[in-house]
Amino acid sequence: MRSVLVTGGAGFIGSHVCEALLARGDRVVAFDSFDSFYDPARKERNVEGARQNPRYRLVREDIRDAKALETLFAEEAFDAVVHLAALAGVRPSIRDPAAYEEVNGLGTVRVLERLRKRPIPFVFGSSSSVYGARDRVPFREDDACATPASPYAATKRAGELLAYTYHRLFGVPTACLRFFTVYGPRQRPEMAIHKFARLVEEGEPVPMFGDGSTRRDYTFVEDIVSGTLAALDRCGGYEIYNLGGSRMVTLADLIGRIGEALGKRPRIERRPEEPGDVPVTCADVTKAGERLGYAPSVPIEEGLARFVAWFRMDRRDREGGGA
Amino acid sequence: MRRALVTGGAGFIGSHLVEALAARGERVRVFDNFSTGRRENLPRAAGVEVIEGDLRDLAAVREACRGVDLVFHEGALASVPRSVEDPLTTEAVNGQGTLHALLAAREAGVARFLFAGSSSVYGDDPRLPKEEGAPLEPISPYGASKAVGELYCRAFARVYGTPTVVLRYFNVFGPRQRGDSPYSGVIARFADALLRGEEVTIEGDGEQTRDFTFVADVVAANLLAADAALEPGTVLNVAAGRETSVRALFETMREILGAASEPRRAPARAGDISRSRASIDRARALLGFEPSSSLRDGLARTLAWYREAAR
Repeated sequence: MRSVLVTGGAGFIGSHVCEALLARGDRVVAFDSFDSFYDPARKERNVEGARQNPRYRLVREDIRDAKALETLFAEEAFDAVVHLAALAGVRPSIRDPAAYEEVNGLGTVRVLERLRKRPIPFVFGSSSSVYGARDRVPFREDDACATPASPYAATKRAGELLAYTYHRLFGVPTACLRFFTVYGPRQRPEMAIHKFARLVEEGEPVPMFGDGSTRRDYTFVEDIVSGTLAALDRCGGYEIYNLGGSRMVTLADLIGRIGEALGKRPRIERRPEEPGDVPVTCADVTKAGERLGYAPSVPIEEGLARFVAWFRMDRRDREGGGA
Repeated sequence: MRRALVTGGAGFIGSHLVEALAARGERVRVFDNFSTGRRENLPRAAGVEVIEGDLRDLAAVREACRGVDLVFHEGALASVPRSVEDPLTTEAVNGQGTLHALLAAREAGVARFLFAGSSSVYGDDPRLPKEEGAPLEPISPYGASKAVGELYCRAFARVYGTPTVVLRYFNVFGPRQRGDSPYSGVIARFADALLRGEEVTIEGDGEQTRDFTFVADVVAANLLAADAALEPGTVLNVAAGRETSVRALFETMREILGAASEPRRAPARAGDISRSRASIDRARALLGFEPSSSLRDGLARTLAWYREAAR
């Protein structure tokens, strides 16, 4: 049995990773600040199942708090860290970059500082946004990634670079995982698919930024979880992996598909493109395939159907619970 | 008349910039927390205003940027070994501090934001010369924090159109560089030891090379970059464009001083890189930059200053 720290363990991706680790017999410590970027009640629900498991511990602390991390590492003997805690979102990072540096930049250093004396595998949740705005697809890990299109992207690239120095100087085995637009059950409410589904369900107009031709590589959360566990198990040296779905879907097509999955016709409201938006993302997952055996298995049709099933259940529960 | 802010203006490079700007008759404001900067570095010229404050304090940086047209962001924790000991403070001052300076500069609507970047962002990629398009592969927390500063400069150029320029300095030396600390640059440490008649310590085999750049050339590049027509987010190497081994450097310095000491060998330092030489083609093309001093001249002027300062 291994003991794994998952920062951001109550979040969308983190809570799925915790459950998968528990399911295979690992001990899991989820570290999460339950911050109010979105309704923290959602995170409470994310951890409900895991909390029933005796091999699970939930720590409600913040990675901005070096003392809290120090205490935790004194109490626990971790075998690995999956660092997913972050302020998410491209557009909000444009409004308040300083908060993103505090959590994603400095917060990552605070976590890494715990590993310098006792190096253990460090798996870092990075982002496809580090590739910036470009037209050439697919994106490969050896790209320079020097021109982020948002402060959020800059902080994620910063995390990769800072982790590299801990690898070089202190021998921390590191895998940086560049997640490509993750969706699925528990997806954050402000993310495109979840937001669009809510608006379509309620008969509200769906804002479409630009002409609908921007394309994204959507990745179902279950694929992300298998990639993350594989990276954790094969963590050695310093490696960067794209974890994507390898298929691009245009924004207009996505909205249409969400409508189909819900059985409702979306009303589209055109809006100008937002700063920070990039025209396209598309992962080349050759490296993750070869080294990790990563193979995205959930196509967008199935993923959206499964998302919508969760979305409707979640709405019922929330309404039922008076939330 | 425009007003320039120099963060880290009481430090080594910053104070030379302040001096040059003041000499041109520009209004200069210095922002420094005097942790390594010194008041005696500042010229007593009219029109030089000093604000004591820390880059980690966004409110203080905002105050310093008020009414400013140009920002020379030189303030940093500028030491590789110190960064290995304390990566968190290094990232806070250099990464977060640069973000704060950018936020304040954007609010002030500056015409240009010049960031003191570093050759350390290239890491130990063996390809020479170092070209600006090479990947960011810093191997020390100092280098990483300077890379983070660059990422913010480029993100601000793209997202908000902030007219940022990154100048990647290569091993700057000259008068006022502190030599009395283990965190000092190699030339300052050698000068300090040679002038005290103490043994000079060379880390590693002495064959590691650097592109030693005289501070006057760094100032010249900054002044050119302040006014040149440049795309926001432009990155430029600033260097002499010549490779010198640490061993050869030591011998030149010893010769200038007429000293006879033999160096002592010490193990290589963690986070140090093996070879370095810049391509300065881009600075030549976009700024008309031309390094003016030979290594020997720069060293002679530097050693003369250390000798004077020691009195």
